[in-house]
Amino acid sequence: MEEVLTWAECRAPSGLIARSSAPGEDGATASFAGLYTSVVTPCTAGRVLEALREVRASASSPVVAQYAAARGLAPDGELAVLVQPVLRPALAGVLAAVVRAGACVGWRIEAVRGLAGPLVSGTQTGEIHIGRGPVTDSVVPSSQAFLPLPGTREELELPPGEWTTAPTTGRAMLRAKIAGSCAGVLHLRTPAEWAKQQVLLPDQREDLLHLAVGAAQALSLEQIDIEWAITTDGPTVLQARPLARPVKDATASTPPAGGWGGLAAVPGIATGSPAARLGPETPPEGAVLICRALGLEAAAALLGGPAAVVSTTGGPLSHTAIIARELGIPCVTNVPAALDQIPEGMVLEVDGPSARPPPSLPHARRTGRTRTTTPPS
Amino acid sequence: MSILLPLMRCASLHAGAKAAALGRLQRAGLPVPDSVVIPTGVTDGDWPG
Repeated sequence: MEEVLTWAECRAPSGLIARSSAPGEDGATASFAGLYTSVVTPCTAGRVLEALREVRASASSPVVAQYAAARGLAPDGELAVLVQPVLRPALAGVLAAVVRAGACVGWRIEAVRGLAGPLVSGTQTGEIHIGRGPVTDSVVPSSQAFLPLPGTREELELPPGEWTTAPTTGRAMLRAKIAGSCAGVLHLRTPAEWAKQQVLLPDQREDLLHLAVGAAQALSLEQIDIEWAITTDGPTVLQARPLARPVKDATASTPPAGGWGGLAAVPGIATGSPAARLGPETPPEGAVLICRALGLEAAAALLGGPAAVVSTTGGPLSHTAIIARELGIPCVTNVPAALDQIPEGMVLEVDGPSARPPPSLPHARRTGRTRTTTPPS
Repeated sequence: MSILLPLMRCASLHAGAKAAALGRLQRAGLPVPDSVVIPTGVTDGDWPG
């Protein structure tokens, strides 16, 4: 343990992150995205050892075994642990790209300010950039109330309402108010100056696309999924893996009459199934799962065989959306009213990025929408 | 002898896929976080103290 702490000395002022590195994860057809545990920890012997145990223990979790079985794989049983200093990024996110002849021919980026944890765990929808080659087709903004950042020991001792410095990619310093902290992560209120500004700027987007090309070439991949961060030192690749299934048609839609609109994380149609909230009991097989965030609990429920998934938050590149794509389960994210307005037991038709009662099915199929009907009595 | 593997020397057999991929990126000159890996097979008993 001393060896880890000696290595971390001077490298990790904001603590360490222990991440899984299993022989069978990040495969071409099975990512195990978000199924293993990652732990942010301060650099003290007891806490680091606890973090290593927690990460290693996730190798034998039921959800990993279920997912491996669903993908026709044997679970790894044990895993290596990757230990990194926690970065304090100005921006972070995920990039998925198809790379051919030294260029990203189709790509999608989701970006947030601060750490990407809420984005990959599906509790925060990122700003979405979609493009082909050098052309950006669309930028879908998102609202982000809080910035999660690794806190220094001094920052973590400050009470809510105090101010600290938020990281930027330029020389300008910006102060942000502390909302609170949890498990070594500081939550800052997004400064008003940033609330209406684009998160990822065009030159930063270019840098990320160049990185994706370099990473795809280094790993001999044509389809790649990258977790990235941008600090004052520039962009960094936190993780790179094959993109098991490309993302399609994940643009925001106008809600159809009597229905709900969102982002199509996994296009596809599922009809005639009762809606079921994510809860302590596994939803019945064939139900349309309604959940708040696409977190680990939702990933476990996906393995129970729902017809489709609708979530109130999150984006198409969140971990559980990746799992849904691999399992071929239609998935609509970022439907804020889903939990409040879709009654349990209602028959839902999920079709791409929206939802409504279904009188005009062919139209809905064509435009990619999700609709609902009341259950037959 | 060190238990920790530097990223540069990571292969997927003992370091897992994530670390092996980051090692390849580092060897290709791409920016990745300074990292070390505790390989498979290491247990709590391997940590002195």
